[in-house]
Amino acid sequence: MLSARQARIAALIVPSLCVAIVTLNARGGMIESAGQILIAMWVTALGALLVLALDARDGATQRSLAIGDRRARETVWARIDVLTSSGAALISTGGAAIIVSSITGWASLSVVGVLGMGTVYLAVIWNAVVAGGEQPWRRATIIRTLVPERPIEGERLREELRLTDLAIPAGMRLFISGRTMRHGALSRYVVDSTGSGAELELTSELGPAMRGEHRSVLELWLGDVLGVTRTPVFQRGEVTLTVLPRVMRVDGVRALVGAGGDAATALPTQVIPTEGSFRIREYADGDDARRIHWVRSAQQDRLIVRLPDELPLADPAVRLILDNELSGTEDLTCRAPDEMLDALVRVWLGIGKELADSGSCVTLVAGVTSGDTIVPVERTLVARSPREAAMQLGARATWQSVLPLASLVRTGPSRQIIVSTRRRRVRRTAALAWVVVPEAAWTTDEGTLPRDPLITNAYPLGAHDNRPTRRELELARARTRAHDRTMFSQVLCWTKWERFSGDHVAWPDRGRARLKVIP
Amino acid sequence: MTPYHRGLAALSIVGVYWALLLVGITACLSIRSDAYVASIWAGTVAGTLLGHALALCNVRTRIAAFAIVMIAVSAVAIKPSGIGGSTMVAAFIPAAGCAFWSLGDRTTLVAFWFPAVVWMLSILEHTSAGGMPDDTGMVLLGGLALSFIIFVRVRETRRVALWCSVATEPLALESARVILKERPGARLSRAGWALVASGIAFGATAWVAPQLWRPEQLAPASGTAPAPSRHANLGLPCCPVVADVDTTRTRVKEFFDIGRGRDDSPTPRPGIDCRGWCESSHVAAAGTPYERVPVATEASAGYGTPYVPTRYDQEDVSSSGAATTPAGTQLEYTTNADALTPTAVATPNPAPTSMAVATPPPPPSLPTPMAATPSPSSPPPSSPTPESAPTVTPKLPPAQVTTPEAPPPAAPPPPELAMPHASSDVTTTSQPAPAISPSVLQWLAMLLAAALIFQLALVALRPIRRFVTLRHLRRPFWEETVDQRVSNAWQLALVGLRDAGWRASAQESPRELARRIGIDGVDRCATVLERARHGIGIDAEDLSMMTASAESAYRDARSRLGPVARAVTWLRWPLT
Repeated sequence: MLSARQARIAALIVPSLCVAIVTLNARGGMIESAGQILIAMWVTALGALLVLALDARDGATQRSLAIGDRRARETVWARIDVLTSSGAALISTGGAAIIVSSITGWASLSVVGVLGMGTVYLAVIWNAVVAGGEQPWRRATIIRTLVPERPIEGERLREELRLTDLAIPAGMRLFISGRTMRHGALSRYVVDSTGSGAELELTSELGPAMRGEHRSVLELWLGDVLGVTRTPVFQRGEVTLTVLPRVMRVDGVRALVGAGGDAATALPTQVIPTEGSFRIREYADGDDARRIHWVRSAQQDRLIVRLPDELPLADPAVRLILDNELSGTEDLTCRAPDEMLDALVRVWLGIGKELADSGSCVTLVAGVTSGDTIVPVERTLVARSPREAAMQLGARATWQSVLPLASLVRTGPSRQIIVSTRRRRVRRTAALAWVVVPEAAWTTDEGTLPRDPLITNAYPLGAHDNRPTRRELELARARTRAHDRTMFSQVLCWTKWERFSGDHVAWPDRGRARLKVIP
Repeated sequence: MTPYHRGLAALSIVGVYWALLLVGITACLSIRSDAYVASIWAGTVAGTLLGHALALCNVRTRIAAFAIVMIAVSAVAIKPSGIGGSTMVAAFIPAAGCAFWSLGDRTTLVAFWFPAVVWMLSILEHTSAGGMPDDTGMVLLGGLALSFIIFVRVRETRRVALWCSVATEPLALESARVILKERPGARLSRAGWALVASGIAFGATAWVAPQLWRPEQLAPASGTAPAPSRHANLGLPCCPVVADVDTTRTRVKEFFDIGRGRDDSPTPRPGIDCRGWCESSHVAAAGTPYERVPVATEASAGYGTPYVPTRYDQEDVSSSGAATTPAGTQLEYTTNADALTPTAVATPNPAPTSMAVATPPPPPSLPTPMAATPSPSSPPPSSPTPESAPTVTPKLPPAQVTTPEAPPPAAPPPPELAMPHASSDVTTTSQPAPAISPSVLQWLAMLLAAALIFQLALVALRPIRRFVTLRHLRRPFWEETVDQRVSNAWQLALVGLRDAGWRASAQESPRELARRIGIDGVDRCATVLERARHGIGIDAEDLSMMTASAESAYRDARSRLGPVARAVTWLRWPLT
């Protein structure tokens, strides 16, 4: 079975060869001369492609040490793969029309055959002459910016492209395509030849930003205005985007750190106002007269009042650990892993924020990518201090399988809370509190399998996504997505709640999370 | 790209397709119109309407095919009287299919086939028996090629619109794009490319396609054609004699079998295929000019052994009597439609010859192609002489030749020999088809020419409009307020900037524009303009500075252009 590229390249040869055989074997002198003309155009087109291939091979040879022989060969094949699928169809049907016209004798078939094949030959030659090399991209400046530069998860993201000195030959169009975020929107632009040498600004609304560090590049290629040929894809406009996580309000955090109060809201001891206390001070206007310490007041000859006693802070230092250890998520095609991790990070940061605001010194701990490996990273979160570092850490968090959860847990007296998708065994210490973020509650449905309507097409007639091969591909992708989703759900599934009694579970509740104790 | 733009692109394809069909039908109607053709057009229009309706409703191909076939079957069952059901269906099904595919994916050539069939009916009517179109046919063929380019282009425009707006994954919504600076003359190069592409398509199609046409020979029919005539003394036959033969007709085959064909009789070439026009050869039937052909009447002059008479000669001799021209008499044939007066211009050998001056056979009773051969006894009308059988009057001395019968002087105008003749049962009609009337085509051509001239006139008027506008911006033709003068000066600067390719966006303030482009004078203009916009008083000095700065910016911007680009800017409209 031929691949799509092989079929397109074969379309440049096979129909023309058949037409040449048919016309040259015809007895009529005029038909034979027409065949010779068509062969001459065909040979010219093939010659142009040969020049392109040699040019690509020379370039690839120079770079072969860097990119490898296989990729060098790929470069050559990509260079001569100039036909679009429409162009391949045009030349194939054109050849078929000429062959059928030689059988039926219908003049109209020969005319449309000549039109089809001639158009393809001329388009190939034109493509090779004006857009074959790297000339169109040589002087081009492509500046790609994403606004805002440091978005927060959920903010509307806008892509701005500024194209300068791009050479778009007459009769060609520039196609630009790129995806900024993994599950984000695909941006597509088309610029015709009036934009050649111009300074253009193209803008697209990408939708809500998705947490994480995203690196993307734009793909550019030229195609003729008849849709017959195109150039190889060039990659430009690389951009890196860091989307900070949105911190979620989490209710019920107090239960994680015991009955102690915090610096802002003291928890007084349950004593009556007249009971004794070691903390005293001079009376001030508005103080409860019942708290006046008469003995001391008499001794000092001024009014002294007793202050209520407070319970100490329950856990002044808390290590909040993000459990992002999960292998195999890179290969999953469904959105659920990313949604799950986003939810984990939101809850993790939300708990940290709540604890820090209540006076605890929170240390956020996670294993994140640093170069080619995963390293544990800790960031301190203190009330009224900048939280940029913590947000950055949240943005860098990805699923990883290198650093086990146990390596993030410390032995010691400090309180440690693990935010995870499921409770797991950690041997080092028993003083762990768990906040479980259940997958079923925090991920959305992947959607049903696409099903074509009975009467109408799935997309407007003429859209290439209606092609049976593409529909099958889309169906296969949807099946894989559903399968991956099932796998992911089964991995994170936990049903025996009684084993987790005493730990906490985070439930989504109208845009915030609510912690509940598992009974 | 919004669904609105997608719909617009689809409608443009439908519009181009219908324009193609209507022009083809109109051109064909100017040639032939009868019940058979009417059924073809009925099927065509109905099928195209159905196909486009199904395509615009986004119906699946299988469902559309089923609907088309079912409707075709129903139409045959309830066909209106006078319309051939099978003919209508033969037009309806491909018309519907091609119209449906005109909006399809990768079906450009299939969709274009049916309009090409309609056009080919007219083109083939302008095609010779050898399969080569005449001038009109070439123009039509070129027009068809041009239409193909337009059709492919509008299809690609829609495909691009679909690519930008339809995908299996979510697509980003593109906002309005802003052109900050454009290259002068970019549109001109695009128009030039379009012209070159159209020209190449025109030329290549007109050159290659007719060579692939294979003329088919129709069934022979009785008629008149030039027949060889030999004189007993000469090696080559005499040039054409109108005789009753089975004429062969050829035509180029097409899907709709209504081609009428052309005569395929070879034209004898004097001196090669025949030796000239003997006195026995012809009857003057029409006045076609001929050159003088000196003919040596000596028995073996230049031809070796004496010639043995053939049956043609015997027929000729028997029908005309004895020869009276002496051998060696050089006869000169002159063009004369009215008289048969062979003239001996020289008599090198006064010996009498045996040359027979034959009475030409009576001309056929044209124009009916299938008509029986007229009897020799019927009076010879003014024969509709084919091109290959011109009427020649040999001039001979009255005393030496037998004057052949003269044609009747008041003959009706000869009908055209190339009469309709079809091999199929449908098109074989005994009535002659109407002569090809190019009037509709001429009207169409005139309309196109008028539209072209109108456009050219508009382009030619642009420099004048620009001159008047710039003159008003510099020095108003009437009194204007100071604020308006300031605005005029700013517009003048913008015209110069636009000439150089700079464009101001709607969101950009004049100061920002001035900073971006960095041309001297624009910043001063922007300053004064913003003061005027904010209602700050402008005095005469400000106004003069504004005017001078605008002029300076205009000239500075244009000085960056080459002379050709500067000249081209005089054709640009709108100015800003």
